[in-house]
Amino acid sequence: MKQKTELTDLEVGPAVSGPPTDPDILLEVRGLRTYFHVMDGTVKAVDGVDFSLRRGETLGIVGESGCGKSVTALTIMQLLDIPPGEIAGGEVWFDGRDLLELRPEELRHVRGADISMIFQEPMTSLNPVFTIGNQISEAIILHQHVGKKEAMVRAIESLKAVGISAPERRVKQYPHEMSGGIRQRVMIAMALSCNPKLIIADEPTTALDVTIQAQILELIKKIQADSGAALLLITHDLAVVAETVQNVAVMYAGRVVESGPVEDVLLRPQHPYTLGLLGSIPALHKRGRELDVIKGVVPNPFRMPPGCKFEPRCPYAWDKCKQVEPDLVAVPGRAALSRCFLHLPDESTRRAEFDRVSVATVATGMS
Amino acid sequence: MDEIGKARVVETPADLEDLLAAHPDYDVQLESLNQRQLAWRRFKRHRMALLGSTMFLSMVVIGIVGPQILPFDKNAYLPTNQVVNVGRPPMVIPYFHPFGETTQLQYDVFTLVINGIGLSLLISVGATVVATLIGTIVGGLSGYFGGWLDTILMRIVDALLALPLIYLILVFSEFLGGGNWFTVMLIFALLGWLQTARLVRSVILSLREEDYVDAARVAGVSQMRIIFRHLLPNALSPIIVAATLSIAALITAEAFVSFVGYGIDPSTPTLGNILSGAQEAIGAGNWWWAVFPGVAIVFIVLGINFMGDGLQDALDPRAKI
Amino acid sequence: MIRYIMRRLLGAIPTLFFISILIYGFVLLSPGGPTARFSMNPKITPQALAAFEHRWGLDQPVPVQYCRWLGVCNPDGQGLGVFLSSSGMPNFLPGIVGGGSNGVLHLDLGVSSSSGVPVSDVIAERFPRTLVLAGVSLVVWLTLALIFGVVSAVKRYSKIDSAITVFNYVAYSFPTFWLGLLLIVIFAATLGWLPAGGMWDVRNTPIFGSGAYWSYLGQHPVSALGDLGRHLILPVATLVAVSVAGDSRFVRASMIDAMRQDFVRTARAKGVPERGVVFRHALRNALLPVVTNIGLELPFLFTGAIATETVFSWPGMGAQFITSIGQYDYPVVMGISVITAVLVVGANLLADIVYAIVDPRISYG
Repeated sequence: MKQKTELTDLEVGPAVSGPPTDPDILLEVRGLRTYFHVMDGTVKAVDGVDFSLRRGETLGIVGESGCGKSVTALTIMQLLDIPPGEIAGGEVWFDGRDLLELRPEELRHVRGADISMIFQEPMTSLNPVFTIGNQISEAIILHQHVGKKEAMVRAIESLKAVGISAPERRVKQYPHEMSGGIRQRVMIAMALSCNPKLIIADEPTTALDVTIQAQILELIKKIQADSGAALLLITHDLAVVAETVQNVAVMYAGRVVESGPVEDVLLRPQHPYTLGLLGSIPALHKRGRELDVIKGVVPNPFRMPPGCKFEPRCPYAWDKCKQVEPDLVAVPGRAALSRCFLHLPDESTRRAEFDRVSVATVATGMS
Repeated sequence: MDEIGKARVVETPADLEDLLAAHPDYDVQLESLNQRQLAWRRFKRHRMALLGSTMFLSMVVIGIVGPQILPFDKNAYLPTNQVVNVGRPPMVIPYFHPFGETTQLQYDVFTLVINGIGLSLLISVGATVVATLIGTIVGGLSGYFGGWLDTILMRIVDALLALPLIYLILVFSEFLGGGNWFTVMLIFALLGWLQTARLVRSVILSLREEDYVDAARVAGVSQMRIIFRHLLPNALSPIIVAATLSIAALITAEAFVSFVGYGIDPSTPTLGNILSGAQEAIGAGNWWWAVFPGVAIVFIVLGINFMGDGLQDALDPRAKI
Repeated sequence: MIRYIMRRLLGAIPTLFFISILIYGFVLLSPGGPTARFSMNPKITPQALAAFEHRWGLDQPVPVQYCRWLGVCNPDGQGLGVFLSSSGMPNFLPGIVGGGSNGVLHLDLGVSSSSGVPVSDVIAERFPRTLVLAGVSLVVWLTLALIFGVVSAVKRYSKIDSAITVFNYVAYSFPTFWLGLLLIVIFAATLGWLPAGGMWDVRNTPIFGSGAYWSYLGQHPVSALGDLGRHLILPVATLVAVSVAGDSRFVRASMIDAMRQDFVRTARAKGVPERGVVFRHALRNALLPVVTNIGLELPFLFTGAIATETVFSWPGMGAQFITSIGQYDYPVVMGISVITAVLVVGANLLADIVYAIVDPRISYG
């Protein structure tokens, strides 16, 4: 147990600290760790996550369920239940301030005003006993210091902006009078209402009908472009990522394993896990063939492998991967970062084999 | 820390899924337990339930065994030359009265309380058993057959419930009871089935439309058999919990009815009668006469409430512990 | 909404009808009939007794007796005319529109067999006293239950939560009347801080409800209310302990459930202050089940009042009920039962209506 902790400290200790030097960077997350203390022990749901997001930029975080992507978002907003949760370390620099260092009162002025959030479950995320006008204007009154009437006018405007017809009538309705798609639009209007600098959308389309999903996704893209806010989109769906965002971070077992511009990551994956994800997408032309699913299962959170967390499932792993965990490093000649030993200069033989499969997989996926 | 090789018990399919999701490498061996075994296992693990049943059962044992081995006859008061200090407890051995004595007649309060526990438990448990039977039958018939029978039965239940139960108990036990403990128990039983009937009816109503009941009906199973074999066992858990709590309610009710003098004949030591006699002595500072019987009631009721909570958790098939 | 309320009101009528039959059954239980005690009472003249027997129809078959007691039948009517009042309108209508004047429906509850006073006068004297006790208790009960429940839910697993939980379990197991005795032993008999019983200090305060009392209250409001307050403390504490214990457990569970909901997280994400999250978003939802529960528990104010009033000699309806049973005073016992049943049915109705108002998801259709 003890030995493991030492290794973790070595591998993800943030090299730098303090606000990001580039003022254009809106959000920079470094070495973020969130643990849950449960009866059986400690689950390290997020264990060293790093990424950054420029103003007005869009970033997607993808990964299987349980990889820590939603916990990352909730940690940034500090919406976790503590205990059992614990923010065990890291920095979240937002607009020149470390959110983890803010007092609760200061943080409250960031939530809803500078950063707003759209949740997965529109059916349960709205309060059933208040009208939606009431719920949208609540944030406006809190953060923009306007009266009730003015807030209601702005609430109607934001409902109009998300394409809800007859918003004057809708503000007087209760959530149970609306469908899931409309409720998610209301959530988006609420997120939009205070002109935030960053919108975090946590699986915003997962709970919706397939036909509605595309509309909501289009809407999120549109309001992001119109408002100029940055967007952090959390999803398990690679197709959503491909359509919506500029940059992407792939998470596995509480870590970012690969990140970079979306075309680089999806068309020229640098990490075996990303490659595995791409290979497991069902497609029409692959009918009848067995899917190339990633073998094995996500590691037991109480007994993580000591080296690379993907090593037990990785077809390219060798001895080294079992012992040491790789860092997230720049891939030579690419815009992406990857957490894999394949990119070390002296691993060119293994690297060639990986590239061959990579090209083949992506080519099958494209055709 | 190391969990390998340690057998773990999984109680519901949902538990198993959770466990396998968290520990995919587990070697799972299925040990099948029926609902009753599961409930017993959950109950055993519920600390409060264990405490509660220990409290309750020890009172039952005291109530049964106590009167046989007590040194004092509950009806015999002591000769004056044995009385020291106007009954303040505890007195000096060999005239040891741990709970003191009553003021005028100098009964040993300990003897009274032990006898009272036995009798009060007998009345409340007996009445609960009869009331539960009546309630189950009425609720079962009402829920299964529905229609006008249901309407009339439930209107009667509604009406009886709208009148506070204690009103009825007071009126009936004074007008009909005549101070006999058995009659009073019957009155409690005849008035105590209302909640059980409602409960059983609602469970039966929700189950009546289930597919397996239709299947039984199609297969030509008789209606009585459907009710008693297929429907009522499902209502058993809430019935048991309600019955447990009803014992507690009736202990208190009996005590109150006797306390105001409309229950069991005042010379019979039920907990309520002992308290009733103590009322006037309180002004004189004789607190022990009133305190100890009350503590006995609280002890029994607390034990039953703990037990009821434990049973509720244990018997809920969806519950996880 | 009006239609919903009307429908619920109409729905209560059959229940009240069954209750009235049940209460009338008390008469049939009475050994020797209700007049057995009248004839022993020197205060009642043979003329008064005869008038009472005629009014209740005690020489008639049981259905007629019930019908007259209820006030649907006119004791002076003949043939089918029994259903008509002396002015020719249906007898069950209120007096001002030409209905009759006898029976429960016209608040004519008979005459007390022990004192010869009309039962309605007995109740009119006793009811306000019970109302004072029950009203103050209700306020204290709801306030404490909400505070205890919300505090222990918000500060879950803290020391204060454990303390409240222990209180809940223990207080819930206390028989009301014994708790009263205990409080008397401690605060009245031993410490002498508070009066052991009664509603007013007989040495310097007039009888509550009498004309003299109201003028005394007008002249010395501080000492009158202070005296009332001193007499209220122990009975109220006795009456509410059990219900606070039960309800704060309920509020706690309901509040914990509400705090776990997604919309609470949404409110936090909007930057709503923690106070607003708890009191505006979570509590409002947590109260929905609590409203129904409280409606169902309101009768406890009366059942608990019987025990409390007996122990503390509080001269209200409950104490009167106990006394009247002992005196076999059927008219009073039945009268108090009728009033209580109407109040209980009314409380349940009120709870339903309040629930429909506070939960927008309920449709009144």
